Amino acid sequence: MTGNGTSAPRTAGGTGGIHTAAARADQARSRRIAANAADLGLAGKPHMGRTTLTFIILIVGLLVMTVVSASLGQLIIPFDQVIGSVLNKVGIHWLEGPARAFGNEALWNVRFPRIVMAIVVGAALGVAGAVMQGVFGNPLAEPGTVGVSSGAAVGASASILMGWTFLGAFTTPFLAFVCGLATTMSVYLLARRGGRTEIVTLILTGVAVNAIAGALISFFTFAAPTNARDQIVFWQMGSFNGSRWQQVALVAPMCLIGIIGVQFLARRLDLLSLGEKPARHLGVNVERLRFCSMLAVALLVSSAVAFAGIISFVGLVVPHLLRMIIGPGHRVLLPASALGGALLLTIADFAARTTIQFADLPIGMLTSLVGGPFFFWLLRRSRSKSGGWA
Amino acid sequence: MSVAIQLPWNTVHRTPQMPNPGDLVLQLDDVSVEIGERRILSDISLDIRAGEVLSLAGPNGAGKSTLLNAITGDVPLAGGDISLFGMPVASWDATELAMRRSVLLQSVDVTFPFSVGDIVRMGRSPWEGTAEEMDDDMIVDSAMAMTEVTPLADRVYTSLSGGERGRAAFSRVLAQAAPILLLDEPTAAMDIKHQEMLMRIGREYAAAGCAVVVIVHALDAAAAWSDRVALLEAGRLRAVGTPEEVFTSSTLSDVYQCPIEVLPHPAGGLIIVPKRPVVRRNVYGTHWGRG
Repeated sequence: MTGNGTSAPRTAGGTGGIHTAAARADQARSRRIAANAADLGLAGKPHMGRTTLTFIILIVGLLVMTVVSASLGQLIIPFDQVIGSVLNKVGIHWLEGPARAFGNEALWNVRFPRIVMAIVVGAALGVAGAVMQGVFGNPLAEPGTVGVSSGAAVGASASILMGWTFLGAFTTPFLAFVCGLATTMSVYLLARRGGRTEIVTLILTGVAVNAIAGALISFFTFAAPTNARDQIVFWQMGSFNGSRWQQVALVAPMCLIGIIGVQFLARRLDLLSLGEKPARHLGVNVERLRFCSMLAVALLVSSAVAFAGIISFVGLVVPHLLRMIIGPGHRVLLPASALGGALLLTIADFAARTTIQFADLPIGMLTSLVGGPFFFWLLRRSRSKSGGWA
Repeated sequence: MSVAIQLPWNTVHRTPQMPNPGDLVLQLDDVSVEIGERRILSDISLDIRAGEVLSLAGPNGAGKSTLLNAITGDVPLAGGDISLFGMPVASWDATELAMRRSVLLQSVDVTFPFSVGDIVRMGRSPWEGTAEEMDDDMIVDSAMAMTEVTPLADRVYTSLSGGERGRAAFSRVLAQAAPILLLDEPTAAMDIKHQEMLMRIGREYAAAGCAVVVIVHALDAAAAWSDRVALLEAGRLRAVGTPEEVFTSSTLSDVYQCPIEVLPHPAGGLIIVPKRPVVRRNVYGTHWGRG
């Protein structure tokens, strides 16, 4: 009370003065907010220009990274020969294919399946993260929250430990996929009561189920003989090493269905950010939206991790970063997250393959190693600008 | 703006007909609500007609918000029926309900940094795929102009002050263009100018043939702007009628457990004030508080 009384007459004197001082303060405030918003990439205006630019950068980046990644490695194949080889495949003979012996084989049997797998898995993880954050209305949610990855790891490690081979080489991925799907759906159903789920219950159920899964994985690791133990541990670190077209053919359709499917949820996810009740008042069947989203996330992530193993942080960081650049609207955020995830994993896989010669680093380790500090930096930056997330 | 894609599995929603003034749009029959063991509402019967502004008043915990939640279908009924346009609420699907009634809750938090323009446009979502969609831009623009949020269109919703958020959220609700408007303490965070603006818009809305149900704490605002008021007390309907009938000194003093004076305003209407003592002013130093 007194503060108001003292400062106004001293700065300007008279009622007119109070007015201008208030107006000036108001202007300064809106300037500050505008500057902050602009800096966070949230400045109003339909982000059309920015969005288009982001998509162009992501697509070009993905194409460039594909060529770079295909070209470099133990066997170096020049860029033009990589492009030539792809063009030859579709019957265009403008450029020469690889000149080296086994160049074509290296490209088509080893590198391309691996790159395509990284693209597919990255896109799936990126989209799944964006959907999870939208459904949970929480920027910290990621597919791991509802136990997809840990469930898949339980399936994979059980299969490795028992040495099951009823589906040949596909037994472990199959069990990983099934268990990931089953875990997510059971988290969802356990959290459901009277036809409704609350977000907090869902998260806490996820925590409990994750703990159980963690214990099971520990037990399987403990019980396994040395050889199987190595396999279990390496599966959980994730790798695209040894990706084959056959595997891509299994994973890609499921991921594509999931990625295209969630686009139909985009508008409703936007409405959900108003809160559960307001979304319902605007005609959204919130429970059905949640169920469809969880199903899509389970499908995407389970099939993504089936062959590649656990790759963390992609689902968390990619949607975050893109939301800062192109805004929160899911209609652009979901496809952008797919592209962003694909680009990130292509780069990460390239690094995993080439950083240390004759060694294939686990990609899950790499994404966490880079993603963790990066996420921390984002958090600090956003806190200093706007006092936290949201 | 966008082309509506009619997918084969999409159901066709029944679009509403604009009601005529005096039509019964919302009917509550012996509505009771229990949360846990506690009875929050008992036997509420109320008819709400197109063209009127009905204010819900009552002390804290009287069940005003619960009544609104019962109407929107967010809390299950322990007894009684609510019908909307002559049909039970359950017989409409979520989108059909959204075409018929819009709801403004006490506080609306938005999770992600959407701009005010985006938020207001979200109000149009029930109409996606209908002929009404053609008017989206016009309706959004006028809803924003009416609530004076046009200058805030590009601002991020979460960066707004409480009163500005209230207006932006109200604007979103207006953009929904539903014939029933349910408002839960919409004026709570607003300054007096915008409180009056909101109530005036409510009246204009009702004059256009819509029904407006609004929870208000400011009794004089309720008296000034409503056609009828409903006074709730401990989960029961104490009185319903014109403000002059319901807001008497004795009823209000009894319901609120606090002496309240009701005086006629010289220009018509009511002045409602609690009986207050005349305090002795303690002024230390000069009037600006500085000695």
